[in-house]
Amino acid sequence: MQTQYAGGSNPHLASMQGWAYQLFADNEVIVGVDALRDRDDFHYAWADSEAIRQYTERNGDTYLIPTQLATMLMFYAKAPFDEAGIPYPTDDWTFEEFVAIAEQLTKTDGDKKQWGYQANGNWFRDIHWMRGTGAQEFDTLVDPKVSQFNQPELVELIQLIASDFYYSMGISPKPADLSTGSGGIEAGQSAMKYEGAWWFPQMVTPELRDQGAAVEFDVVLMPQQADGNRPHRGWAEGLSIFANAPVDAAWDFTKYTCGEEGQKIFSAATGRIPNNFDLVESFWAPQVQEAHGLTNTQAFITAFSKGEADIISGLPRSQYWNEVVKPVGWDPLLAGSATAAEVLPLVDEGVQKLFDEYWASK
Amino acid sequence: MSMNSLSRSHTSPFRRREILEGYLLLHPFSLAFWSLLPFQMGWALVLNFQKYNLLAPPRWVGMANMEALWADPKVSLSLWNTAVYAFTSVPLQLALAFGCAVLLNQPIRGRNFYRTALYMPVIVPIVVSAFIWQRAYHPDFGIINAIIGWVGLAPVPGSLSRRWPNRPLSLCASG
Repeated sequence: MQTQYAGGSNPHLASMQGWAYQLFADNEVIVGVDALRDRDDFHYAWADSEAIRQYTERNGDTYLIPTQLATMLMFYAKAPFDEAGIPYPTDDWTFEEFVAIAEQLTKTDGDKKQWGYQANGNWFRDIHWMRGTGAQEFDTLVDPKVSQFNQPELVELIQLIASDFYYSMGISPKPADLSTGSGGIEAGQSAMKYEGAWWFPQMVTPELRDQGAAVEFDVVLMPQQADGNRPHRGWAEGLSIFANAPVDAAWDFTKYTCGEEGQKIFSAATGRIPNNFDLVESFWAPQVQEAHGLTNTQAFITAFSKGEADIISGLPRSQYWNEVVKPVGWDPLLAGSATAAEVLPLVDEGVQKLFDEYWASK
Repeated sequence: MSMNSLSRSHTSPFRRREILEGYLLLHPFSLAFWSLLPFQMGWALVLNFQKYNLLAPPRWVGMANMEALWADPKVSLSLWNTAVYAFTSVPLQLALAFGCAVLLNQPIRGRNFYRTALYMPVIVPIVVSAFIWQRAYHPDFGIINAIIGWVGLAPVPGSLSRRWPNRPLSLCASG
């Protein structure tokens, strides 16, 4: 998108994730729409949620018009639980219960290998587990200035989920397994996985059922950790209007896409959670229950009500990951060649350097 | 009369026409090459001294990018890995290829079969080949660690391990 803009060939409207548009807003490349939405009294697209406010507002204006809400939960395949005689998890389960279930469901010594939990293998998704400890890796979630991965709670947690689950405990398929196409929950080889609504079609569709390849599943809130508030990640994805676009025409299109009629079309076509809570309950929930067979759609609404931002900053989130967090932190952990206690101080050092350079340039 | 002018005077009209045609055929490429490449190289050189996020006008930062490059340990590691890769895969490829060529040139029984078998990997799609090698290096179920285990050595933790920077890659390339 940046290259397109620099080359003068950017689109009028761009689909943006809630953490991706800030760089464009800070450089005044996209327009704020507060005046337009007040003029037309169009407020339908912005659900009443702190996470939505954080992910759509910047510099005193609103730059993202949500086309969908997003959160992630624990997906579980029913067959491994049934075969092991273990009850399905419920929304009040704890982290210790989750680990115990994952251990019981792991069987990798026979010809047919099965793992209890398909771990994430990246920081973005592990943010959920990290925040569940009550600690966070930055001083603030919006425009942070201090990197603080190296805290005792996070060191212990990251060691567990990004290394021990794969190696010393062996309850998750290793990256090497997943990269060769085995170990995934959609292949029936892992019992649980942290995923979002976009994953439904990987598990169950009418076509997969016809082919006998469906993996019947349901979802449950993420297990309770130390933080009693049980934060879940919650964010918005949507549209932004480029400043060099015909703004009124782009705004009219956006209003239709993000209004009730457009949202029904978008949600029916993609399975994504629409931007309005009423529509989530009245339209999306029955639709995905019928198409994909899950029952606990209420968990998505509960999770979103506990929604918390990952990180919102003028520096793209991908820059932290690509330049520091992945090569310095997660890659050695996932390879089993370093411990969290060894790499997280180095992650802090690298991310802090990015922060310092960014703030010095402001 | 110099040698050059002597030789020029002895160039036949046919030869001169042939040379001219050669340059004419080269012309489209060389025109594109010389009109675009200096600009690209020059622009890349200019970018070395700028900070540019493609959204706001670039800012001059002097030698800051160069300093960051040389202070980054990944740069020396990348150079080292590239050198190891080049100095292992190239001699290995040459030695293996030459050795196989000599062997397959001998009057041995089933020579055509061996020639076909040797050539087979060349026509295997690179993606398939990559998957086979990736599987071979799997830390638990791969054949490489199985063979290492047979001779009593500890298994290699994984193809991503920095303890084995790019030896698997070198071996794949050589294979």
